[in-house]
Amino acid sequence: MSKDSLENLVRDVGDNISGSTSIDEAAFNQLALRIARFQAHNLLAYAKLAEFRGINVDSLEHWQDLPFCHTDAFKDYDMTVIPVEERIKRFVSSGTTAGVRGQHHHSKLTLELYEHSLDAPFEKHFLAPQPRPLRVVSLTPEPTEVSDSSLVHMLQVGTVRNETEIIYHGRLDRHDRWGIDPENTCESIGHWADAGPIALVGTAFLFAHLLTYMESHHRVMNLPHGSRILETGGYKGHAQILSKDQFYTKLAERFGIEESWIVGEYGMCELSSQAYDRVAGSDQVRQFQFPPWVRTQIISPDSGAPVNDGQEGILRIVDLANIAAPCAIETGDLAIQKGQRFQLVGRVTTEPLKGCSLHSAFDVEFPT
Amino acid sequence: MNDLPNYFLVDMPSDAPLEPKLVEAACDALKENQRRFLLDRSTESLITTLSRLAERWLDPEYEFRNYCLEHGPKQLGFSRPTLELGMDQLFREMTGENLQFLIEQDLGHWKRFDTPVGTKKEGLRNRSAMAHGPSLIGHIGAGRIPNSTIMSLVTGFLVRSSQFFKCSQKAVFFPRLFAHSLYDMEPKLAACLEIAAWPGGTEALELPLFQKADAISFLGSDKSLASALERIPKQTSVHQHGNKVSFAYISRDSMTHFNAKTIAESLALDIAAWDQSGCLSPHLAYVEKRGSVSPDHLASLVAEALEALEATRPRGEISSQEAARIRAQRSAFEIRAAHSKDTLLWQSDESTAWTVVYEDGALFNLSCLNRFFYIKSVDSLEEALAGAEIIRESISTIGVSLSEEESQGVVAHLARWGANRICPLGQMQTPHLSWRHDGRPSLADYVRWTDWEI
Repeated sequence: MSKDSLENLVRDVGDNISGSTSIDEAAFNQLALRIARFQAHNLLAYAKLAEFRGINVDSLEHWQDLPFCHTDAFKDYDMTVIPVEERIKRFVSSGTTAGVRGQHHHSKLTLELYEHSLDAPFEKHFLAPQPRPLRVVSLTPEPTEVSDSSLVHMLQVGTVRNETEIIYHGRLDRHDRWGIDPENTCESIGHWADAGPIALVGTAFLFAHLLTYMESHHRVMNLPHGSRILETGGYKGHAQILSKDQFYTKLAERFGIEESWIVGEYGMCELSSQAYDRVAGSDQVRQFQFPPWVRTQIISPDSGAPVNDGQEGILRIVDLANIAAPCAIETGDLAIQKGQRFQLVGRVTTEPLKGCSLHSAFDVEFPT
Repeated sequence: MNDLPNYFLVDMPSDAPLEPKLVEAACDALKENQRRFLLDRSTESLITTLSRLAERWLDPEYEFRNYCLEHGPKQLGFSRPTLELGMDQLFREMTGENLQFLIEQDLGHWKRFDTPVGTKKEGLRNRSAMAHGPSLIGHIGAGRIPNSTIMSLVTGFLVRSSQFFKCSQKAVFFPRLFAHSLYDMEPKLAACLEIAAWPGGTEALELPLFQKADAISFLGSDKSLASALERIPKQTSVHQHGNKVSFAYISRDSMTHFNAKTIAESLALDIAAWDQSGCLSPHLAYVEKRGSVSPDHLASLVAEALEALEATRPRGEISSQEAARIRAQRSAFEIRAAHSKDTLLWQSDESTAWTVVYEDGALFNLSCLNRFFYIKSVDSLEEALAGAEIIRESISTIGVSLSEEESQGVVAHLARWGANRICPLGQMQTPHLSWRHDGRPSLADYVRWTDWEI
């Protein structure tokens, strides 16, 4: 039997996150197994999944062998150990055409861990590089409007903790979809940039909307040096025509910044931690990396076995900051492992039907 | 295929870009060749040529067949046994007798294109008639399954039309090979055929084809058709074969302990044929409850049959994206199966080769294909059809297992519901040559008539 409690695990993971630049494999393995065992004993849906696969989590020795829970399972099952009365925060996944959204619940304790875990990576990759931006201008709606968005919560917490002002320009339409008024947003960006470098944040779709407006109105900005962009990926049901490279080139041209100041972020509501593809302004090769308390595994979509470095496969993630929800997650994303980093190839997502026979509507989004 | 002679547009060296004027010139040449080589040719000689070509393709020594079997698996994504069986079933249908029957079925008399002729009843009324096809048919979007190419080509030649096949680069392998086999056998008939490859929606190249062709035949997605329709001149007839869905229905009275295994094996054959990627391939089977064999037991038998087929007729190689789709769909049902006895899951070990999902309830699930199959248990035919209502407008074939007593009534019911073809299990992907594709006559839709009142 697992003797760990949520409190013990939150404390021990918190200790490892605080100021840690690395967690050795043995320590990571031990914590991952402890968390998964705790979940297998306290999270019914996860226990059933493990049982269905014939896996006894108590007897496992390596985190790579854990039962990985597909992100889709968060849509239909209560994937949390937190009792209903203790749930103070709920994050939901971004919209899909299926309409059902994944949910990730937090208690006071796990929310604190989540906020604690996001802070340092957000600062390191986005805010810290000098010259520090004076303000963050977000294309997303305000936290009060979208309280169930993990992205907006991350922005709010990340900026408050780092004592940086944030202004939100997004809004919800009558179908609760995110949008912007591109003209107003451009005016505002220009206004704030007069005072010094700014940090722009938004989803790929919102940026694409802004770019379309800027192109049709022949608007080009020349943001002050040190201005940066955080692009959070995902078109959320909208088709992306441009490749990531082309998209970033256009963003850089329209805002008058170098591409090295554009940072890609990879996150999802089912996880607690985020990956970033570079430190703003650095000349690193653009590849995603999670913080040290997260490990990734890429498996062959056909055989399910881990693939070699450099080969394409399905991205699996073990996030030690996920204590209330399964820490071992299988995503719908195709990626290529590059040492400790990974490169996104695409996402299995809903798309129009193709071919002679109708088939279930999945296709791959955003080739990089 | 680099050793094939440079004869069709698709044979041009890859550094020579295809230009609109080349497409236009090819269309003009096709129309001219139709006048020279097709218009006055007898139906009998056309049938002889086409049926002999089919015989060649059935010959194990035939070089084009062997080339197809050697390179097809990589080019088309089907395993060699799947390809071999599929081709054999197709070419066995292409006999002189069947070709003649096809014309008789559609037009009443098999010599309608040669001379004014009539049926007996027409004769009693002092009438006869002659049929004429378009001079040039443009075919857009032949798929990777050879059947559609062959059927389009046969239909086109029988109505005396020259034909321009436009494929995507990915799907051109078989049409190109087949066209060369025709050229090898009879260059004059091959002069009435053109094969070219370009990405769908390349308007500059499509424009001359749309303007020159008298008829355009479309295979493929409804979306690409919608975009092309805006660019096709109004006087050009358009023949559409868009997205279609098929499924199977097994009544409680038709299944016993003695035939359940045979039913499962027949279903597995339908699923494995062309790796489920044709519009005649079943996505799921509705199985009636309260028979002597339970629907979930049948599902386990289908899983066994698919596993056995994997040894003799393995699924082809698929892309990582396709495998990821299967994995995602398996995951969705795995978590359900872990929670409820109403969902059961069988899957190939350490591969995505085949998957069977059993669920209680009639909701129609579209499969991600590549041998991913659903068995749904239902109380009645009415319940099944209510579940399938969401794909009713796209229905093609319903494969059935019915008792003798109920078959007439059930078939009439399914026909009125919308099915275009109803057939026994095990034959879903092998329609008769004269089947009415998407419920339309193959030849008659192309034809203009001249009535002669004697």
